[in-house]
Amino acid sequence: MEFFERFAVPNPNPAIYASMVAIVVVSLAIIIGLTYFKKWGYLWREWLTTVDHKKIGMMYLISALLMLFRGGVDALMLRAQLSMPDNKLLDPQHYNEVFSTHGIVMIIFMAMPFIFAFMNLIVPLQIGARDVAFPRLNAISFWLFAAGAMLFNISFVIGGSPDAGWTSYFPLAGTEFSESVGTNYYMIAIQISGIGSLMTGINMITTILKMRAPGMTLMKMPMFTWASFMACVIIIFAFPVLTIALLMGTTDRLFATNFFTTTNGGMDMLWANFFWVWGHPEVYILILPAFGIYSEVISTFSGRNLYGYKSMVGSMVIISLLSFLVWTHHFFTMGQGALTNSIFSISTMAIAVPTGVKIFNWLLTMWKGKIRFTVPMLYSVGFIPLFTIGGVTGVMLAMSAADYQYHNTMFLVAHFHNTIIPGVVFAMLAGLTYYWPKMFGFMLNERIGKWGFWFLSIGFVLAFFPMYITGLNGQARRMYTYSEATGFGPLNFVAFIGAGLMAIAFCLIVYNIFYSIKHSPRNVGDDPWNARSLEWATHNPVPEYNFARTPHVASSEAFWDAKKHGHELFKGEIEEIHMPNYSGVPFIMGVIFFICGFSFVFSLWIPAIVSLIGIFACMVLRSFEKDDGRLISVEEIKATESKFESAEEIKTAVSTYGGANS
Amino acid sequence: MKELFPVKQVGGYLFSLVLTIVALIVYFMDFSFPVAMTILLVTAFVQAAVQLVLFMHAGETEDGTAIYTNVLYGIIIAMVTIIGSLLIFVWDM
Amino acid sequence: MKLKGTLLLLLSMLVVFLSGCEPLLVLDPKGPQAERQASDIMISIGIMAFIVIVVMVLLVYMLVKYRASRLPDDYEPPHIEGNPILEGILIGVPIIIVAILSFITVKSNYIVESTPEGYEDQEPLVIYASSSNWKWHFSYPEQDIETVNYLYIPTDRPIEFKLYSFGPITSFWIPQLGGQKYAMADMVTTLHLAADTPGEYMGRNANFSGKGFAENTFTVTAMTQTKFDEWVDEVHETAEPLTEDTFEQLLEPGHLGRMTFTGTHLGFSPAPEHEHSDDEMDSGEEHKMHAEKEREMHTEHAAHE
Ligand code: HEM
Ligand SMILES: [Cu+2]
Repeated sequence: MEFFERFAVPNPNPAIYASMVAIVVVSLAIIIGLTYFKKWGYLWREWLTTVDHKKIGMMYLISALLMLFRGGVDALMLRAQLSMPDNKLLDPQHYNEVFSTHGIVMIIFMAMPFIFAFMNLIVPLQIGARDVAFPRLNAISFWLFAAGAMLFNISFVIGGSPDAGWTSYFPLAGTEFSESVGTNYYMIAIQISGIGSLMTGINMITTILKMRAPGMTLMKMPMFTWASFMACVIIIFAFPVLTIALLMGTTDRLFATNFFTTTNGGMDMLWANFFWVWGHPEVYILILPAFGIYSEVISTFSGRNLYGYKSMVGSMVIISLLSFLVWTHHFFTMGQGALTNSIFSISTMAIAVPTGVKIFNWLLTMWKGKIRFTVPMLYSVGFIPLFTIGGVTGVMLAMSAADYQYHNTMFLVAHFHNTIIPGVVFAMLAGLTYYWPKMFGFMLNERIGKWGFWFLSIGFVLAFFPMYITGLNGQARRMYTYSEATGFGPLNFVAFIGAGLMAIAFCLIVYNIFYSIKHSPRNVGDDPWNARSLEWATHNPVPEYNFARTPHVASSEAFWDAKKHGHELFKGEIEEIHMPNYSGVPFIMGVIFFICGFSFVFSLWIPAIVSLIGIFACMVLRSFEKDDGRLISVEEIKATESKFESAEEIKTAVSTYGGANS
Repeated sequence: MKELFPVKQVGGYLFSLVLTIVALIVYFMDFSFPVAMTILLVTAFVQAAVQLVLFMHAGETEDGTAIYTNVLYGIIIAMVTIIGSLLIFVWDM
Repeated sequence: MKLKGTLLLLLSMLVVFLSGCEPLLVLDPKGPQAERQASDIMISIGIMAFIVIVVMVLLVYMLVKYRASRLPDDYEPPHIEGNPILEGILIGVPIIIVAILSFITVKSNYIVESTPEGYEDQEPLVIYASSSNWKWHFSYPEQDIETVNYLYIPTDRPIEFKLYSFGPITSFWIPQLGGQKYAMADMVTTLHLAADTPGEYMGRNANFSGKGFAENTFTVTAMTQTKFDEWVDEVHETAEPLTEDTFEQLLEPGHLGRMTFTGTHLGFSPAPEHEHSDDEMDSGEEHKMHAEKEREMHTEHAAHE
């Protein structure tokens, strides 16, 4: 019995027990359902073993949406607790666990898979490739992410959640002040999914550099591909820092090393330093792909080419470099001198310049355009003013002397939600709506989508703008409660209402998915949005080989050229297509990584060692495996293509979606 | 004959032996810490460059520019991070 | 519509924010450092509001003028590559704004990191402020007094806080007197503050430090030098000396009310070694020596002697 005691939750409450029951029930339901409908084989053949970038992208997307709900429920609990002074909904320990989980889930397990979803789905299509450079590695990346996410998400029912914040500053996160296994989960789950992210970065860079369609020079790549490229450059330079920092943190916790302790030569400030050397670039890893999506959406729905393509690319390259030069702005108040703070203050403000260039270029893209207010465009139009506010408050925070007053307050919390929600989350929802037909061949309902947008935007403003004020009024972040005398009550209540509206918005968005699966007309054709770049030059949903014939490209808007200027995209005859084989190894490796991680969390050394050996065995096996891929015959391709063509004819010339309701 | 004999590689091999010996000398001689460290760092980085260029064939394919850009970018970021951290924790604390 | 809505909301919030029925703590400074920071904040809010308004006006213009429903059906948007001059301006103006802000910030950095302006000729009062889960300990070496969770300071005198922690990283913050700074276990940081007006101010730990973080607060009372001296005398008459045992008990995790002792813990439980150098290292050294002397003078109260 003693052995099992370690798995008990240290600070249980009824909600946690209820979740345990719910988890067991849902898992059983899934298992029974799969067995009853005889879907195990389908699941294994089509999804668990897939190396197809589109399917992997969809799996990332589903995970991101699930995690959005997990993090969203956490957020609601936090806002509910703070809605009134001296509220007793959550005790401090649970409040701490909930906000730590919320931050980590949202950044690592929601935003990251969301951007990876679109990188996977769109980048190969935008450059006219058949898959990514290393399809199997891509599957491994996904399963590592999934293993990390699963591991992190079971923490609250087995052993306890992390409770030292998403930043996990030492010594608070050390064994002295954080005894439960929660922070072990933090270190190891993020480590596992971080390795996956690093491999995705390498994979995407190789894909973009090596697999572009004939004629597509770097300066003729669509903007989302450029954005993904730059984000991946940041990934491969930033993530190794996180890997090492987490490793040091893990050994500090499990093997009593002294990297970040305050005694025996350890240095707690070093963790903060490492964390932000990764952490600041990380926020740009999230925002750059979002910028890419906005560029595509704004250009499409303004009916115009993107204004200032070169300065758009240039500003991203500069951002990718500058993002490594500013990390100290997260700890201006750690005691370094005025000189250091001045240097980092200036470098931080400098990032606002290329960011501003992008904002003005989007505005100028609308200039002389023909703007259609579809759901993706609404998100983009909402993004511009809201993100500008987030950006300028960033500049305010960057003024280090003033930051002594903003730091650790709700003002800071307002800033980063103001950049991440209108920046990243809006972009992901815009991308979801925009690329939905690309993935599934039908559209999401526009009316419900617009309701979702309005609830989300208004909810956002109500939820976060009050925080700027309470922050300046002295409300520190991460306080589980406050007294009535502080006067924070009314504004926090407004914030709670805002959070509620946002929750409704997310429910509407999911409802929209179900509604559209049921009611949306199929056969929307290949170009439902009157789009411009290469990913729209193939069918919806995309056949497994992406393009029947390799496209030839002459500008960043190859598809537009083909539609309007008679550019010949596809030359020559259909030929056999070489595709990679599916493989079960990535999934199995994911499972082993999960077991390994779990064993490390609880210091179960025998399973830990066995599973480590298993991981290496998988890698060795792979290097001796002979896998030439498979060929898709010309007949098969022609059969698939003709199916799409007849569908296209049925559709008849229905006017472009969104044209009518602007 | 000239094309067949890998002059560059053999030269590189000899050069890396020399670098190793220089580094070894540090162990046997009685240099002050800064001198010893400088020698070790310089030989280590030259060694890495020799390996990269001669034996890992950086720059011999069409990706040469990409590889060198990458390495340069990496060096810049590493230097910035190290100098920045030193600035925070040592020079200006 | 959406934009007008947001704009209105923003403006109204700005009005509430600027006029403020009750001034926000940070914008209601009671000392020179906080005043400098508040003025930086107001300047930056002004410039930033200007930028936001420009972007919004441009956006509204584009959306109103170029929405598809307003344009003829056969209108074909032109292909425009970009214009080096226009883009140059769009880069140039932000650079100028950033340059102005940089200038202000750099100046402010040196101001907040040194003895408050106008107080340079005075000997600063040195107070060691250390945190333990979840309390604040204030040691006055000069006065040979230690308090828990409350702080008495004289007005019109520069105060130099020496910050460190007996546990997680915390952040010492008195919004109305000036911005915060971290207190850590392996080094001492310095925060320069001063109070212009007598009064009671809120002080707290701003950096998350575990379960008791929300209540990790203290009150600051600023009073004239004479009143402060009276308080010091009174403490020496009435308070108990701080012994090592008592101090160990104080460090136990938990919350305590206000407490007052004679003597400080600096003798038996000194601040960490690694002292962060400030711009006036020598004067810092001087204070320490000065403090040492003072402490010797009060040996009869100091438990450690
Ligand atoms: C104009 C560009 C920006 C500037 C100048 C800027 C500046 C800053 C500064 C100075 C801080 C630290 C404040 C403090 O801790 O006291 C900060 C925090 C933060 N920023 Fe930004 N920022 C910018 C854009 C962004 C973007 C685009 C994102 C995300 C997509 C972002 C996400 C964050 C996050 C997550 C934090 C705080 C994390 C934490 O402490 O938990 N920022 N920003
Ligand atoms: Cu940052």
